[in-house]
Amino acid sequence: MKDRFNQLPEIVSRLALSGCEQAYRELFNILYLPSKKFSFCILKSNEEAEEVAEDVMITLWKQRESLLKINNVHVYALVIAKNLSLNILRKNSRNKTASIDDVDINFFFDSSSPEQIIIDNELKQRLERAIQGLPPKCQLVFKLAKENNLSYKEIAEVLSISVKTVDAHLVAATQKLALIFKAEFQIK
Amino acid sequence: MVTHEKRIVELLTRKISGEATPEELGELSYLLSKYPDAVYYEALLDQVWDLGKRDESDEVQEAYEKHKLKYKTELDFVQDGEKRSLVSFIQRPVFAYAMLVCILIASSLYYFNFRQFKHKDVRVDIIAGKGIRKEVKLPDGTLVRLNGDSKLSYDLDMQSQKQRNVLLTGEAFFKVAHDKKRPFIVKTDKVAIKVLGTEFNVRDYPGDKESETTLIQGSIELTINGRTEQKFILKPSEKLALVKEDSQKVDLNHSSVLMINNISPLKLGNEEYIEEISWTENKFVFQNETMEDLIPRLERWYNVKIVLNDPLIKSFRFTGVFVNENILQALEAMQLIKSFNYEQKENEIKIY
Repeated sequence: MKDRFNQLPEIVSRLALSGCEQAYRELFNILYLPSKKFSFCILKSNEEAEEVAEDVMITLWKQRESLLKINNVHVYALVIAKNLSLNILRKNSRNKTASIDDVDINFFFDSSSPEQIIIDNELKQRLERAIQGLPPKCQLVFKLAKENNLSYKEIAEVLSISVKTVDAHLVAATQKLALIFKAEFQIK
Repeated sequence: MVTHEKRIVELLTRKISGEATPEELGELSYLLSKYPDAVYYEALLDQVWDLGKRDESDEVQEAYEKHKLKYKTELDFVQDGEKRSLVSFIQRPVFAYAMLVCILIASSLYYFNFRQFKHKDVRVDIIAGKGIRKEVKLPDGTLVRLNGDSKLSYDLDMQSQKQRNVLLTGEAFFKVAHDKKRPFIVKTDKVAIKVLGTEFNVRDYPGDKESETTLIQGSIELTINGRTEQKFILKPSEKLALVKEDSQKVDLNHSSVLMINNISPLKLGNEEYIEEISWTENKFVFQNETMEDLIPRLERWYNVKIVLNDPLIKSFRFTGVFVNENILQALEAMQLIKSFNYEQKENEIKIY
């Protein structure tokens, strides 16, 4: 899955130089869902997350010529998604200082994947609840690491934290999961 | 959980996210061999990482169709038949015939109007003064954009020559017209660049410490004057920089540093030079600059006064490019990167 994101620089340069639909569609195919899912974590509303994700894509389209100069378009898209989502939260709650730390992130595994043999639905839910018990940034780090295949450095950039913090958060999340595994499978 | 279990999970986390160092991987193998039960953790975490990895292409397709419809006006795609690039336009046979006719007409006009001049010896110099940018179309259809304080020279009868030669001092961006039979050669003080049909930028100012060639599209072959056995082929998004020891001339026998880099976005030289090709479109470029540093630049670029006292906001870093935005649009765009507020009162903008 990481391969898809590796294609981004090539797609971006085609888009910037030609402005053709094919390139935009390819960009959309790679960045739309990650932006939407990330936004959903913050907004918890499907419609609003969709709006944000579409906003992100249109912003990328409008800036397509400058995109050539962006180091990491994947990170850039997520940062836009993050700030658009926080802006919406701010408007909705009238709380001027809404930051990621104040948001109630509702982590979830992507649903409707075929049921796995080892991790059945019941266990999956327990794992989800375990992650949901972690602080907001921790949940986001876990989500971004697992689903967007971002490097620690990229996650750090999206969330404006240090690489060390990313590592600490991710390890905290997996430790929690490991505890559940230990109990469930009686690992010694 | 016991200490070694915790350590194993910690190392597994880094391994699964691709961030483990070789030492950590080694330690992990050792620990797993010592505590074989712990291998379950690896299998389980792998399963967790696989959760939700389903085929979403149908969902995306549907979303895309919806998206296209909703933003019909904004998404003004270039149709395949009307590629904006001059290069592909020239490849159409109709254009070739039209160009042939034009050349015939043009050359007969030249013949009738400028009979008294010997074409072979007429050299055309295009000069852009400091702070001026000029765009020129050469006889072969190549578009050249000259940056300030630069000069481009070519022979008036370049179309009748076996090669298309131009001389450059300073900086120019080239969109070379495709012509398989006649290579286009840009010669500067330090380098010679041979191209067939492509877009690239050359910077070679006499007083500069660096000479730099950046390739955007196509491919070019570059040789260094005085060292012509060594040829460099650049691929798109690569650039070659020739750094001089002494700012007067390149001493090719000693350590001149040759670097082929990928275009690093937004690397700033000094304030007067905007990196690579952004200058050709009057773009204001900044990378990872603090708000504090950006404010005087914004003030100069947009001719406004900006007030900011908040030290936190001062430390925010931005990377971006502005083209036609006015100051308010620019600030709005910056808000997408970091959250802050602004207010415009008369001629002053306050950021808080």
